[in-house]
Amino acid sequence: MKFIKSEGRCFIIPVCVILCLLLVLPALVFAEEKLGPIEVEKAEVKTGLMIPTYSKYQGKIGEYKVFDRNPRPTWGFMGIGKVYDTYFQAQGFYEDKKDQVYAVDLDWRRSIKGQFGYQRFRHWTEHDPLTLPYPSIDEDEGSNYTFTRTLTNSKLSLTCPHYPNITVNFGYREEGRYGHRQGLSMLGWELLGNKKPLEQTTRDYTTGATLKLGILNFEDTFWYRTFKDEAPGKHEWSEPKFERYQNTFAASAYLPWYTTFYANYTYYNVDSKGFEKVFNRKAEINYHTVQARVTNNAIKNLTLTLAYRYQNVDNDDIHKWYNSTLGSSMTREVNTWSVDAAYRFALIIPTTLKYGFEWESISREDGVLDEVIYPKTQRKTHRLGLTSRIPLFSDKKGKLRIEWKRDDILNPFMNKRNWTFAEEIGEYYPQLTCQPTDSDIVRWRFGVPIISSLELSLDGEWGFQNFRPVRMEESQWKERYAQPSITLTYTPTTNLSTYLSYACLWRRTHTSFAGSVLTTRYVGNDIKYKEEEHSWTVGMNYQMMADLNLSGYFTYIKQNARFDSSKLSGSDLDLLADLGGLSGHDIDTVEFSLDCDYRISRTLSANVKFIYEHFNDDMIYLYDMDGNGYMGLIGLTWKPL
Amino acid sequence: MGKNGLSIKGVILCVSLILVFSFICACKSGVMRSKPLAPTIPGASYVGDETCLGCHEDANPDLMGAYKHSIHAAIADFETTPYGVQKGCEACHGPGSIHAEGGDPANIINLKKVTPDEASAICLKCHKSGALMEWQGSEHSLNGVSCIDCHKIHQARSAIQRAKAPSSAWEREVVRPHALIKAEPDLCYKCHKEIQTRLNYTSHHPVREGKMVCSDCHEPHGGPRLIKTEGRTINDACFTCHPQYQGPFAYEHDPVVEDCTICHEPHGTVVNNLLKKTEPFLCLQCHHTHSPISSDESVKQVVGKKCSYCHPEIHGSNAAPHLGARF
Repeated sequence: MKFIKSEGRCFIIPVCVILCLLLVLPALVFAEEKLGPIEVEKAEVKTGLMIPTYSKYQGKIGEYKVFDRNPRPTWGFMGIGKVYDTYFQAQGFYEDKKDQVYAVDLDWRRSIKGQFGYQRFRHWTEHDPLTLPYPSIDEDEGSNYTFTRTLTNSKLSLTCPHYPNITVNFGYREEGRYGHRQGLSMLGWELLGNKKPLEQTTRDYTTGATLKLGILNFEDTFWYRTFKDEAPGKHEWSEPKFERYQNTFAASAYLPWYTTFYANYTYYNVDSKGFEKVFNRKAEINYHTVQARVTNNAIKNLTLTLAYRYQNVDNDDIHKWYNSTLGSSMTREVNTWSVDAAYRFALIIPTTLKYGFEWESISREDGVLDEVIYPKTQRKTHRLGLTSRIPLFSDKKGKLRIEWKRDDILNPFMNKRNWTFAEEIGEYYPQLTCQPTDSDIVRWRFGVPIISSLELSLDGEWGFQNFRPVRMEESQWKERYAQPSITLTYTPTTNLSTYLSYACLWRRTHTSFAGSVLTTRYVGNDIKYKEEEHSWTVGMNYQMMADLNLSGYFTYIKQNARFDSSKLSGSDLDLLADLGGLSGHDIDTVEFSLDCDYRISRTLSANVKFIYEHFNDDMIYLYDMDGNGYMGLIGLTWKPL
Repeated sequence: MGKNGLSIKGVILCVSLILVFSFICACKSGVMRSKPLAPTIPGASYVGDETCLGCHEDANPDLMGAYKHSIHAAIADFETTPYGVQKGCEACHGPGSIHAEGGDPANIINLKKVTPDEASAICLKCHKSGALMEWQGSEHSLNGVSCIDCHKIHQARSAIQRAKAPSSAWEREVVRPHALIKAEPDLCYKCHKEIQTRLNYTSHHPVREGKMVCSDCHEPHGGPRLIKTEGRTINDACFTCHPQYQGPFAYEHDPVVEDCTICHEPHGTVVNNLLKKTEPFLCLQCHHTHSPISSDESVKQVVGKKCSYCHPEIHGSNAAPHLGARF
């Protein structure tokens, strides 16, 4: 661990000493007491055989699953109980050397609590063979690119019974990405693909304390993070490496008049070591935020909340490469105010009516826009919602929720580089953005039991987002979408539950297109993006006999996305008119899972599973990723107690 | 302030006026709350767990069996001391002497029969630290979601309910159920069906494979927009697992430092890498022009497929101003 050797030794040793002392102190409190007995609440061991296979390509069907391995044994365990005065819980599952999960919880007299976890899984990534009519070379033809993501997580909290108001916490998290993915680059005008190794490691060290003093609660957390990619063959300019320090102080208070107050202050600093290596100077991000929230319940059935948040992001070491007087887009100051009111009443049915208003102002550092027309982004958001629980049957209630959200945004985020050119030549050219000036989103949820065994649920979201140009000649952007779904749940008997659902997404996006900002003005040509998805799912859970349970589901999804630039045909942008056909998607996927559990005896049970996955894209994008995956699993679980 | 902007003073004034007006109206009409938010049983005293179990161990054997192995049954005296709360059944259900005498269910607190605010207030007597410091006034709280809509207070530490057959070998291996009514993500799908639909799309985070859960990114107990930011920016939530894009980089791509969700939809998309739209449309929304695009068919094949063929370092670079990788 290079970190400890080089940079961390100065504070790791004192931290370890403090940790040992803190571990010993609570133990001394109980030193005179008798230790308790050994109890096992639950114990099970499982083993099985996994038989995966696939046809064609495995990367899409098994992006996170394993279909490309030989039949292999799996094993798992779970143990819950008490060893003397230590409660423990241990779980683990081993599928393959790249797919494992383990967790251990320890709880010693509620005074020392620890959580330790480890998991790893494989992520399959794209390998584009670069079969283009353009000069291109794939230097690593035929190989598969995957990386393994590992996560180690440990948390320890200590409370001394003599000082129950204070809890001290420690945490360690290590995340790794090890493997390969495809690297793309231009060599001259030739496109080059090669194997890019990944050896990324993120280490997080946290420590904090909580103090409870009557109506007051305080919490402070310090977090130190390091990130580096130690893959061989990396150039110094392509080495992302940084250190990050963060401290968060939070306080809450239960005040008179049914009022609660919460506030926090966070500061962090990110120091890019990778940047320093290339440019021989520091590049740091400094971030400060203060937020406060007051909530009052003094009026019966009414909750009022007032909140304020200030954020300051300082990335002053970075400037735009094309204009060194312009700062980074990250550097900004944000002020956010919000007020929310929720009123619960029950004239006929219990209902909650909610209204919220939020106002946000973002002052950006890349202030070229000061000299044009748009110095700040300002957003006003209104949210109106209604939630109701309708009593229909003695044991079941209908649920209704409708929410409308309205955003009114002045000067949304946009491509400012255009404005730079515009400023240079003293003219205003089209605003280029995919962010709206006004947005309306409606969400609904209506669940109603039609009869006591049949429940209908209608859910969905509808949105209309529009960029309103200020000047007649400016570009336009708008998007409309609808995402309704219907679910029927049928439970004819207590041992059988079935469901059927259909969901779809319909989305249309338009962007008005201009050619070169230096030569062509906005001419009103629209490019349209169409996206449609339809998904059908049917599933069931059937307790056939006291010892036999059967469950399964089948999902079919049709997904289509493409854009249409044919309107550009015949214009001076004719070259772009047929681009839309090159990157479309017309995908069908099927997922089927059947699971059967059978209890052979009081201590032994068997499990059989079958999983099927199918992916097919009729419009081949990049390369043929169609494939079918099959997986059979046979397992035995032994519960000795 | 901008043309259409509100001044901060104006907002404060409006809000203050609304609050003062509401307060005066409420006082006049007698709608002010007079009892503690967490309900109590007037005149009752604490009788201890033995008395409760005397009846309920036989009447509700499953419930009591689960409770005995729950986290609530395991808590130590010193944990409730700072809050002045009695340990055991009566910590949540209120003092039980009157209920024990007559057996009337009206004389004991049933969390399912009080309002969501009252039910949550009972839990908040002890659960005050961490993310729960932010619960009051949070998104879920304002929408009438109470603690018991997601958690079971009698749940045995080992128990968990799964709604469907597993889609991968290890999906059913639920780690740390946190006394949830159902395991994530099925619990969240109960109310957020639109998210369930998106997670079914071809490109998705490995939630349906059981290798991630909603609460890896979301903080259901509070926080801005329920994202796990701990007071930071929305991008910081993404940087938890994708730190390689944190920067700072000498050459930035503006939308990357603004908000990851300008280009990505984290819950699921048709297009690879969680991109909201297929390339090059995604890029053409903000970049209407490109000098190397020519009538050459081979160049069009590259441009029409992916802008990131030539600009692979799209998240930022210390080497190439145009975000292209170099050798």
